[in-house]
Amino acid sequence: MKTILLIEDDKSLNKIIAMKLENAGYCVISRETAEEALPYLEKELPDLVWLDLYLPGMDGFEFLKKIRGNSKTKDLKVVIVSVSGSSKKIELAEKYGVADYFIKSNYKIDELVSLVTKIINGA
Amino acid sequence: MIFGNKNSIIFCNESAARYFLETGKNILVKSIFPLDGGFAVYLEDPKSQIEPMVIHQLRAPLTSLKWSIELLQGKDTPEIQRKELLKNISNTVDYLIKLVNDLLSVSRIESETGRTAVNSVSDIRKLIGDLIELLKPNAADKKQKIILKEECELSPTFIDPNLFSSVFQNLLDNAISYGDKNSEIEISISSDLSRGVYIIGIKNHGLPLSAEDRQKIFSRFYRSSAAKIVKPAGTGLGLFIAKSSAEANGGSIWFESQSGGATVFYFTVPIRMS
Repeated sequence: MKTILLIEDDKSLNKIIAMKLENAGYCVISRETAEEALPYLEKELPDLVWLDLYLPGMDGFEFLKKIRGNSKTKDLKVVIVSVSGSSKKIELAEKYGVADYFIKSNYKIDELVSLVTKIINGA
Repeated sequence: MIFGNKNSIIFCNESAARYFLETGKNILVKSIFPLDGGFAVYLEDPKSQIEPMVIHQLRAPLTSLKWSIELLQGKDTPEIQRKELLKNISNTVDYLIKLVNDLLSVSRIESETGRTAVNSVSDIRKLIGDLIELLKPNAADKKQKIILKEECELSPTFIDPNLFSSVFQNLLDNAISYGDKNSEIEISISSDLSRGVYIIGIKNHGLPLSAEDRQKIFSRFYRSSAAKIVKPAGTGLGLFIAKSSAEANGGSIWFESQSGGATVFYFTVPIRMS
């Protein structure tokens, strides 16, 4: 079973995303802050990180910088799923090597999970 | 010292210019430069800052509603998840209603036309008593005791009672929400006649304030990580509304952390007999 590390600070969205991913057959490790996610990455490597950008404390980009600077986590597959996306943010995300950048309200949850599945499976 | 102002430009001396930069009002400062022996401070229109933040605050709950409904419409969603999704929708709608009400409060406070003219004195002792009675049931649910310590008598004063209630209610509600169960909430009333103000303090034992909290606690939409755990559905506007209301009434607001995990929020009310 493949594992997704979900980092999303909105409790309601976190529950819904975890629910949908689990229904799709994934093991979901859910965290509400980047700070809470980092200790997990010291012990385990998920197949994909589903990352929100607007997080309390360390934001999504600071988290990306941290994991890309660590030899153990530098090659992790990451998708950003955010409420908004300026061209500057998308450009910065590409510099950090994210697999894709999705704006939440543009997708149905089913569509997002399908797209993420393609990314995990190497498409 | 402020010499004058026109539109979004304030003309002031160096110490006032420093004040704008250092007291957290710098979010509104576009630029500062020397002019004619003083300083010109160009301010951002605060309304131009709030709209992107409001849009951002609305997006997450609206996406949550959208995806909850999609999952409910799906045939594969188990019954137990359907119940959870319906509860999620209900909580999210409650949150959006509160957010809209708080945004209306902010808009009213910031709009000069939204304020009522103060034509008569307000009995703030009665206001305090009424608000304590209103929130007592919430405190009772957590077995908290509200104690009132009056170090001076409160004479009626010319202030906007709605603004006063807005400050007091937000601070007392926070003290109850974030205070420990079985703890005391102490309301103190005193005066500083040299400054011509009453000082009201609300003290609770509960969540300690981090360094980041201290910097941002009166900012729009700011919520500490600890606060989100205790009260997930807060809007992050309560203390901003309290601050804006206190200042609109001619007073000020601040807080002090005390030993033993207690925090006291204070605000002042000018003593105006005419």
